[in-house]
Amino acid sequence: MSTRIISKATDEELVMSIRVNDREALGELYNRYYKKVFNKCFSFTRKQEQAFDLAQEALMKAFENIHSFKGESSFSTWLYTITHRHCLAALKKSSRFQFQPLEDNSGSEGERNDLSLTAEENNERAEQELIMYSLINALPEKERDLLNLKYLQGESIENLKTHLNISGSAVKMRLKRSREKLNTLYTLALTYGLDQVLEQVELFTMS
Amino acid sequence: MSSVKKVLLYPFSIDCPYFEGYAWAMELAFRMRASLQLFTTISAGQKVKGSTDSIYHSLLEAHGYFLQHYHQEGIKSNEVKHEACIILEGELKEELISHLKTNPVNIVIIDSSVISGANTGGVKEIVKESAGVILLSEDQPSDDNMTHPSRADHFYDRLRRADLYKLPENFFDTLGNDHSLFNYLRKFIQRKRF
Repeated sequence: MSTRIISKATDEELVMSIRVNDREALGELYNRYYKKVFNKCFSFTRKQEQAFDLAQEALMKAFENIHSFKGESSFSTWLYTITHRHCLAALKKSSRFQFQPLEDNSGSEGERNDLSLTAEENNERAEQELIMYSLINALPEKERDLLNLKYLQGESIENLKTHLNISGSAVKMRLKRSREKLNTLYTLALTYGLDQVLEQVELFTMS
Repeated sequence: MSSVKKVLLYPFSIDCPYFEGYAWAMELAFRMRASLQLFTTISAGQKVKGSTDSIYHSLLEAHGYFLQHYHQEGIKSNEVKHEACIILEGELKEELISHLKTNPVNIVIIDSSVISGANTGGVKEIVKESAGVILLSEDQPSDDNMTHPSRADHFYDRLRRADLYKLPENFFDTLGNDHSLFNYLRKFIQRKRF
């Protein structure tokens, strides 16, 4: 395919060319998406270096497996799905904890054995975890640390009281407010999309 | 620096063409089973998200170049362990020398276009602070070479034209295990004979 034709080809046409070993087509398609993939990874990690690693890996994964693209969705949707899943897997791997619903009695009721979940339910849960992880990371430092200490490290109220040098009721109040804030952001993320909410949180945190 | 795990370092500047050097460094890391560290600098006081974004975008583009031109030779980038990309503020050569003093690596791969005066002794100080240096020559392969049936030939051709300083004794032993080196040398010798 000539350079002029390549630049005007649709993504799907480029995929066809890549399948017959057209390296120029590969370069064109890669260049159309690498920044978007990086930005998507960054929206999850909020750290450039981590986003770079994930973007590089996700792009490699996609282009190495381009033969498995069946055209059931657009190429961009397919690529973003791979990116999304790759970020999710990486974040889950790096995270030492599994999210539970942020209620005061978290972990004490309503738990189900993972093995009893269907693949669809597992995907849904994984998606929720990713959203919660990204939102916690985007919170102001004090709130993020508090939620991490309580829910990641399992610190007791007693320990938090000493650590923060405040009364037990103040710890509980701060936890309650942070949980409520996170739950609100979570609902907003489900409604308006995670990227949109993270952008807003960043703006408020900076101001 | 670990005595077992080999670490290569590739300094680059997004203001100079570096994709070919990056891809070559990736290939060397792959062949040596080493990990690759990337190193660059930005102007003092410019380390904000926007400017570092452009570095990461450029690196991803360089990786696309690698994927486009090198990947089909069976060189998989996920088999090359990437160390962190080090981004410091200041002048590239100065910061590199200072970095190497406290963070030694096995080999530094330098594009002669990146370090000013590299071909006229400008790398002496870097060599002094390094366990080994490969100075890649500026002459780039033509587009025809990029579609050469053997990328290995291209790789060893660049190595042959590079200036090598203080390379570890086991450097050629490591590459000696690579069958494509033997194939390359055989063709080279055959070319010389006729």
